[in-house]
Amino acid sequence: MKYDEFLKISETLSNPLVEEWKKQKKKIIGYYCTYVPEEILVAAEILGFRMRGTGAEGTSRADTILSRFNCSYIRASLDLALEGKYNFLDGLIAMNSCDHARRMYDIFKYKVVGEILPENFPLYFLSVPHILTERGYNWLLEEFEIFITELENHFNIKITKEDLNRGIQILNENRKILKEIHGLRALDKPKISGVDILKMNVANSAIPKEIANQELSNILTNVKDSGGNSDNRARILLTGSLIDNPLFIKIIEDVGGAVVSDMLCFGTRNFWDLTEERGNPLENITKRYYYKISCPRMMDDHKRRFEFLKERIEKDKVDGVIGTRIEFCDLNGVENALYEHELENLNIPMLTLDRDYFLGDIGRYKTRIEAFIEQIE
Amino acid sequence: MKNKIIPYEILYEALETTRILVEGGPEEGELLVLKSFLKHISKVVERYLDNAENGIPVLGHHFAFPTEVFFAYDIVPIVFEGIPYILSALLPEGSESFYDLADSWGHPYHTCTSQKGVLGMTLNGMFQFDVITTPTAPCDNTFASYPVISEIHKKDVPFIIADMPFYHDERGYKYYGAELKKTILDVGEALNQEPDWDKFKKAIDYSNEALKYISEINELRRVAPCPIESMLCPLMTAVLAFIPGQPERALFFKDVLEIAKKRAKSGERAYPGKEKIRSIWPYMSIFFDIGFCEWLDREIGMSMLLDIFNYLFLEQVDTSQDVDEIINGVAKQSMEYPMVRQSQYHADTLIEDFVYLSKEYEADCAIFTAHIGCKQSVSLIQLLREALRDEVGIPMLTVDLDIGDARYTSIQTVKKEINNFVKTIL
Ligand code: SF4
Ligand code: SF4
Repeated sequence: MKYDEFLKISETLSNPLVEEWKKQKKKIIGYYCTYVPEEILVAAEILGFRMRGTGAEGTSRADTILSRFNCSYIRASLDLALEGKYNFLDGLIAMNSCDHARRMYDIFKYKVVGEILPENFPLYFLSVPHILTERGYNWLLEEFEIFITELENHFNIKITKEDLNRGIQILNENRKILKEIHGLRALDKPKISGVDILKMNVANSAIPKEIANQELSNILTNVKDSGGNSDNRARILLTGSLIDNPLFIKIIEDVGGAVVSDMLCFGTRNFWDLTEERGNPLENITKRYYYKISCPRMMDDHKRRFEFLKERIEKDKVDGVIGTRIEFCDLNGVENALYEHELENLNIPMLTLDRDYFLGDIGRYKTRIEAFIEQIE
Repeated sequence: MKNKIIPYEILYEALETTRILVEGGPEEGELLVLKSFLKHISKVVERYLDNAENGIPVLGHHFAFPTEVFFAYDIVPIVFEGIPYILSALLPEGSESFYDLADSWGHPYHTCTSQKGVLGMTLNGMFQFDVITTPTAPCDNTFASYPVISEIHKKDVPFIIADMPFYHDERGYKYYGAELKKTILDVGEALNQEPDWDKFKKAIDYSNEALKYISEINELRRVAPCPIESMLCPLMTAVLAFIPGQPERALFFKDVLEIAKKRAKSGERAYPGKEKIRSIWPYMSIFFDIGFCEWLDREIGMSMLLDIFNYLFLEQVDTSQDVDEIINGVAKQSMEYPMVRQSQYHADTLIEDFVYLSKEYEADCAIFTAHIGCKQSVSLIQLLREALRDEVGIPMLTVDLDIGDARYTSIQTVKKEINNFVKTIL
């Protein structure tokens, strides 16, 4: 596959590889959050598909169900489901990630399954603890055990230890390549733009991981050999609410900011931590998800997140941080405010910006980002 | 000694002023429930102030914890979610300046004012907690606001968290029982006190007694016309928050029960005129306007039968058991506590609860206060509306607002929307 062709996968909801997968009568399960253990899905030969709002033209269908106080990304993804655009899925996994996303389990149950999707469409809910303790770890381990049993029963399959180890290897390879590519964006002369990185991460979340690994390693080889580009006014780290639309990063890069690092769900938060390959595979998977770089849903882990942020700022030679919040995203909104105060103490500039999933007001974002870059230049 | 709970001093003054006004104002026999409320709550707040002044440690905690468990220690309990809303009812300018302080710190405008108020008060140096504790429930606002309050407050104040699992089943109750026990012991350690389990049991006994009266009161709410004023809804929410595990809790509900019994016997309402509409409020009532509920009763003849905090799906905890069993019982109560029960679990609970209650109480309509802070509940409005329409045959009005901030949607607008809605029913 050509470089552009791979990135193009991010521009549509479904893609040719999904269609091919379906033709082979294999299963695809949508999921809402980075705490859903993809290793288990790979072990079950199920394609995990991260839920997105790509291609939604508005939220009018979703707005008949949800409130205007709900996150517009969630509304966009629901709108697509109500339009039948997610009918290629064979199941959906939600979890207690944020209040907007967790309610998708309920909305699908009452309003999508049986109407847009078939009556027997399986919905699954994972309960993930909100703090890091030994009891919490054991709870999550049990959750993953139950999840495996449910998958086995529903799809009439058997998931062995070997299957789990295969899942771990494939996912680890995937994350290692993404991490290496991240290294190339963070060079003094970045070899890859923030826009392309996001497209790559989005494409990676929507195709079989074995194929993604082949394509990503080809990209890695090619990009490694390319010349870099230091023609930027400021090196930016992007954090905050979910971004699956590269347009926002394009706005930053168009005004001279190079997005050389991030702390996003479609970014480092998803690929940074690897899973231990020796020992009990399910315990290793649980440890990876429980102790990975967390999202603000983890209530007692802000300090560790801030340490990670500082480390990225230092290692990726970041000049300024942009923290965005989709309106009504309480978790990232407060997290950004905390970062802003903490970074201020360290004299690291940060811009916090609220936005809509659809990025309606491009002019406003551009003006604010340009002013921020001028300030740090 | 410096006053460590300045907002309680403001509250005490506001309560006393309101008490004088109410005692001197209406006719004999009017506002009886409010009078009892003011009398009992004032007493408790006064006691808290005295205790704080005498150096008893101040424990800041979430409403989703039953305060009773912390009475194993000598503490002054401050329920974060209570104070901004009660002040929004009692002070002319409400808690607005505290919300604004939190906003200017960077807290998004759309977070729940119940916690934002305490954040503002903390930023203003008005609280000095000795320990802060919360469960991981029921909503994002809890996860987002508590760490900030504890962070800003003072770095060395212990912040203790109990993880409440999503599932409300035996596995979940067991897990949470262990978390709650650890929290109680950690609080003791932070305060350098040994738990006194007799005091703890006594506190639970008071709440058990109150629970008995509450279920009798709720039986009387079925009577038409409803013998209880709508105002009991917000008042009961406040009593649950401000008077846990103390004799005044039982005394207040005993008073209410007596009042309701008398009225039910003679077929009276709290106000003159007919009961025209019986309404059920699947979320909270409005706090920022103390006269609102009276307006409902008097002006449009609408009874607010129950809101989310007024029907307790709770079983009493038998205090003759051993301590571990009692804690497990309280843990279950805590997970089934109003709002926690419906907010922290799948939509089925909220829907089933209010379909059941609407039928049982023969409600003519429902009114949902869509609180800007509460994202998980506003996600379910349409599901609930359809269930009430299809299974009970009643309409539901939604009003977008902030229950603790008059500036988001004014009381005039709320009243107008209710008036228009009522016209479509009558
Ligand atoms: S952007 Fe925020 S509110 Fe929206 S789904 Fe993500 S965490 Fe939830
Ligand atoms: S009102 Fe909603 S948002 Fe506020 S504390 Fe309760 S559950 Fe959380």
